[in-house]
Amino acid sequence: MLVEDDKDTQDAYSQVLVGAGYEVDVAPDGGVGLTKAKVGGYNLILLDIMMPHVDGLEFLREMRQNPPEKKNGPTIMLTNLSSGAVIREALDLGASAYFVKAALNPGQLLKEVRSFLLEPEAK
Amino acid sequence: MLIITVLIIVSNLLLGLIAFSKNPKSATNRSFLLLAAILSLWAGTNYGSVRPGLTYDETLFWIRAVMVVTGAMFPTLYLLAKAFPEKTIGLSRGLLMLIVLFTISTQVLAATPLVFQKIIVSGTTVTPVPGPGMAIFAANVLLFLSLTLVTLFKKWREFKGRQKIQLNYLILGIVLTFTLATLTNFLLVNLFHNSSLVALGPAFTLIMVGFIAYTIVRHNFLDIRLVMARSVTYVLLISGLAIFYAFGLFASAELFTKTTSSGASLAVSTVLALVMAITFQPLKRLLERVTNRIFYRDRYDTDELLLTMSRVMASALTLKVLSQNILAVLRQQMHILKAGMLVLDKEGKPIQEVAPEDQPPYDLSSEDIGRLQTAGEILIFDELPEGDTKEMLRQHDISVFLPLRTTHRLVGYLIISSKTSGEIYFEQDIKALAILAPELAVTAENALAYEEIRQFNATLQSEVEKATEDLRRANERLQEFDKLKDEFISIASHDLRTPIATVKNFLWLTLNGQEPLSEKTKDNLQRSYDAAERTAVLVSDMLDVSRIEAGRIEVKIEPLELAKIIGEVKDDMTTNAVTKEINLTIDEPAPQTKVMADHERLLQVINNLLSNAIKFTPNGGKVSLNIHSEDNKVIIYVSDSGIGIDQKDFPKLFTKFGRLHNTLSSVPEAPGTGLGLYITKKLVELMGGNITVTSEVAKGTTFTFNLKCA
Repeated sequence: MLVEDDKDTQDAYSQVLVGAGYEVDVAPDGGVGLTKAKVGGYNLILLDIMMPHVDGLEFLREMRQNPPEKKNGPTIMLTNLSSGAVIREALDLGASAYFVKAALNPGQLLKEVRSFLLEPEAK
Repeated sequence: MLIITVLIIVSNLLLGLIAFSKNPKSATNRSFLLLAAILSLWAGTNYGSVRPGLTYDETLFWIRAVMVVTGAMFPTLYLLAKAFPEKTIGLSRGLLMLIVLFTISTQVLAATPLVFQKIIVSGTTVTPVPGPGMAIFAANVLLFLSLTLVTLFKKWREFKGRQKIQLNYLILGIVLTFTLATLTNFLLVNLFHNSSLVALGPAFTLIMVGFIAYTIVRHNFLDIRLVMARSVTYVLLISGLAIFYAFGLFASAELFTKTTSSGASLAVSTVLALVMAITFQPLKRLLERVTNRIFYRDRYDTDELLLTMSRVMASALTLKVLSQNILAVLRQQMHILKAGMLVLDKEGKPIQEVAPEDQPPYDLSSEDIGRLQTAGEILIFDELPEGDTKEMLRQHDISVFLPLRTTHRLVGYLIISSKTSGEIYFEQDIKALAILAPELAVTAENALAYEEIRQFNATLQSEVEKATEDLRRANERLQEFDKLKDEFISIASHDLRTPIATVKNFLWLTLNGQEPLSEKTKDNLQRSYDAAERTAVLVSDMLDVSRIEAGRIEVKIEPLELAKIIGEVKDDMTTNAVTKEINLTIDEPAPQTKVMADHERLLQVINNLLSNAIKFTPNGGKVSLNIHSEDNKVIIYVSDSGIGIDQKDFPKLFTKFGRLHNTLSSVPEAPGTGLGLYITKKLVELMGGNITVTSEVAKGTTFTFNLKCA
């Protein structure tokens, strides 16, 4: 699942991931993202921080407090913030990694996604 | 005898004249002078009648002379009693004429044989034989004597305060004198036919005259009881000692009759004298204490009062408590109805009236105070003449108004009302108050100063608190600004990054997509992508620089395995180097080498130095990273065989946007920013190390930095 509010970013990342054979579910804000995450079953969640309604940290907090029956895979933070405090908090709340989007080209993103998943899985 | 008489006459006249001179217009003073003159005459005639070696006729003459004088004595006494202590007699002209007439006729009568027929001389005793006229004479005496007594009694009942005291002196004087004189000159002579003490008679008049003169002349009076107590004391003391001395001598004479040498008696006398001298003071004090207790049961001891006051004045610091205590003690010890203190500020304006809590305040208006102030020194109600001031004092029941002065200034006033006993303020009281006044002034001044200091302290404290509060608020605001600035930069950099990422993303997708592209298109797009990349790096660097400058950069220093760090950079750098066919060698750090550093930032530093090295080395060159351990430091060298840096560019090297002079145009413009080295230097320093550079143009550059060992 890709939880991201910026349309351009959604499209670019979806393109590269789908092109690589993954199934991508896009949530345009934290609220929708939570609903989907609570259903569960995602192998990997790519999570933005600055979003409307519910931000990335709220998402993590909520998921930690009320985890769904059907578990999800690891969560990777994709953000353009670089506040150390925010990043630390995200990692404390259960995120596995964080990347600065502007420093990542789609190829590098793909590499990271692959390394966090053992193999591309059709859901 | 003669000498004594002369002395008596002179003294009487003198006293009379002194009193007269005080107020020649007053009836009291005039009648007193008259009385004094008559008594002097009496002394003179008395002496004349008892001189030794007188003939019968002379004796008779002088005795008659005495009677003539006596005839005027009692009427004059009555006049004095009637007038005392006023300026007028209070008798109508008619009555006065009558009295004068009667007196003169009596006197004339006394000169004739009608009063004293003759005298019988037997040895030294002289007995005058009264005639028929004696009855009139006696009537004169009795009449005026009784009138005097009645008048005095009436006045004694009426009078209060100061006048009463004066009257007491008058009465006492008269009583003493006449009692004694009657004893020696009348009773002894007529009842016991003993005229031996007659000569003493006039001497007793001194007592009366003295008393009256005192009472007329003085303003303040000794308490009569004091006079009596002290007199009793001294009489007892002297007589006691005299008896002791006499007895001692007598006893020793009895004992030492065998040895009647003058030496022994001298020794005895000396011993006795010594004993007396030593015992005098203690005995005097003992007697004083005894008489005090008898006469002075409700009086205070001045010394004790002063001692108590000293203690009270040292008892507190605040004006309110202090003055209340002082006034309470004063009130209690001197048996005063009411007492208060008026305190003035430095300019002399009254600021407050302090008084014991259980009494109503004096509430003097500023006019009242002004009027009292102009009077100057101590004001005593009883001494003032009738007038506005006295009326005002009467209204407020103020008996004594005493300024309290220190050497610097007038601190305030002590206000005292009448005594509970209604008595006037005696000399002793006024003296005690005068002693207390400067001490009270100092105490009050100290209390005021203390008050001032306390207030100043409080003001100072509140000022300091206010200033601290202001400072705190200013600080808060500054911190807010800092926070806002930081937020701005964070948000700005975040917002800049989003479109940059999008540009990069789509360029990449296009470059790596399915659609075939011409070389030209690819090249164009790649250059766009690289430009976007540079932009992204620049934004990150600007964020870092802003954080570094604000001191808000977060650096987490922890022990890191150097090998791991090196491993993380190796791959990417190798890829870069291969692109330019540069030979890149990276040392393997000794396995357990640990450094104290921030993971991310150390990566950033090494990445920056290596990428710079690769960037500025032409194709086919060499770049190496060497590691050297020394003491507790790890030194890392990043060398390249690149274009080098001119010495004169060294100062600007580690600054923000310091551009290098690049005269070699064969090196293509490579992506990079002017901020990289600045950030690298700051980061190295934040991690506790420092960075230096050596270089030779066209030969190569070596950057050296060190880190602490973990």
